[in-house]
Amino acid sequence: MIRVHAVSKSFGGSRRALCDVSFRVAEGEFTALTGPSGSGKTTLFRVLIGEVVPDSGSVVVNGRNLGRLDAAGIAELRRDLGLVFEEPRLIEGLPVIDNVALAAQVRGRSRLEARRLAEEALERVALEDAAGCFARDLCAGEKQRVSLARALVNKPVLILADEPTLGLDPDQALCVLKILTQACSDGATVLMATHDMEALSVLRGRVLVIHRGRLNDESELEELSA
Amino acid sequence: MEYYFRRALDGIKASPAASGVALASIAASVLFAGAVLLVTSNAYRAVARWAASGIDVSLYFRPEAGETGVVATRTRIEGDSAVVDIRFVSQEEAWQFLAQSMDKSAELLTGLTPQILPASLEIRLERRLSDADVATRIDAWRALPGVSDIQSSRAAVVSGTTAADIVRWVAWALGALTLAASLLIVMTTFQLAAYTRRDEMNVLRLVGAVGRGYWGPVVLAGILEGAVAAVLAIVVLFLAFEAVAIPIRSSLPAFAERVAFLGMSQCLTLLLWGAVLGGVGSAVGMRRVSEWR
Repeated sequence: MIRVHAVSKSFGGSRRALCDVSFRVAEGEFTALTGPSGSGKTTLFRVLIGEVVPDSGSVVVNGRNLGRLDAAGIAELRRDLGLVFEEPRLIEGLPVIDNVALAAQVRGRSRLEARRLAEEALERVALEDAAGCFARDLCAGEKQRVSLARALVNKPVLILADEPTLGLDPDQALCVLKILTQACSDGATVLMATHDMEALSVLRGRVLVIHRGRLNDESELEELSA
Repeated sequence: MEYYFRRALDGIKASPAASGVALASIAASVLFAGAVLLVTSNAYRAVARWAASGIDVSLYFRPEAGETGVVATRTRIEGDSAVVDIRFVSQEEAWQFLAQSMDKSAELLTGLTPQILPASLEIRLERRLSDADVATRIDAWRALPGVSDIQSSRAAVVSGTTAADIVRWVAWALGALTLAASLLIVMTTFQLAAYTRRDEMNVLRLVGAVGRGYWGPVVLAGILEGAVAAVLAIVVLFLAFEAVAIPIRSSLPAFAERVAFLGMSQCLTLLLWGAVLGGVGSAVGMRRVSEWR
């Protein structure tokens, strides 16, 4: 599902954000990417969604070689992914249901169909009652769940989540992790970047450890929590 | 198309302050352009109408010319094919015109008699006549018995035609200036509007909106805002015009039919101008604040 080979990336100065990073994520797998702040998790995440172009190496996501994609190709790739960020990145002035339906509409669904799918996605994150609320009126945890609903609305085969539990209280964080785990159980491949050890302790799957832009270790989440 | 409209309306609703500022700047631009168009089109129409009316010649008689002399001169002049109209103005009529034109100062005429004014022939010649044609006729008529003086509006007509051309060029220059200035202002405003909507832009990129899906709603929102702003500006301009025109119509009836609001085609041009301003402004503004990847 994801193949990253010898990817390096520098921003301006001599310090490399990513250094010769290689890994694979198989279909249906739940993989956590962890490491301290500034280790390169977010840069790697941005490389995977085509937001940052690596200096060298190759990246294949969902069968598409990102190095060969133009802007339209990147957009097409993103339409097939479920993306969750540290910040929910919602349109604050739009109702929750429209925020979620937006991703479905961009994929060409009619407004009615998109809203129906959005209602389903909101049910999955237990926010069906907030459908009519404006995004700006929600608390941080609820916004993150709306962001998750938007990521799930098109039933993506691959979900990329960058620090989705950061800044959330333990209950909300657990709720977000359960939703991601459930999505994986339903068949989606999940790659989640996090440095939240509590979050890692409740997850099952593979973990990639990144430090100073290098992928150092690879182990099972169970081993890490033990 | 429904998707674009809905997204455009959602975008406007999501950032009412930015949309309001953009709408106000377009409305101000269209209002100014409309005011320039209104003033210059009325000025041009007035000058052009006056200049196109023909060349007026006033032929004054000596007191001793007598009725026979006047009739002979009139008959001679009426025979000229270039004469469009001719009218005799007696001393009494001239006196009345003078008194009317002096209005409240007419009392200055107290003690004077109509005999101080000469009788005259008011002649209108075809506008096509050249300076030389008019001069030839004036020289010939001046030599007629009983004629004391002749005055022509030929120079004024030439000036009027030139003035109409100047008004037209000034209108074009002001229009171009308005266009450039308003485009700059609106682009800057929309840049601010796009900046306030950068989160929305980022979200759209994030979910894979591209091409028309990405640009379309924003540009359409700009076009809609521009069209609405243009309509508002035209309504405000019409109300302002009526506020000025109503007293003119009542106090100067002669001008009533000459002062007119913009025609349908001019209003549609302003509407189009507002929509184009909105569309171009939003596209350029968004391009400046958004990075593709």
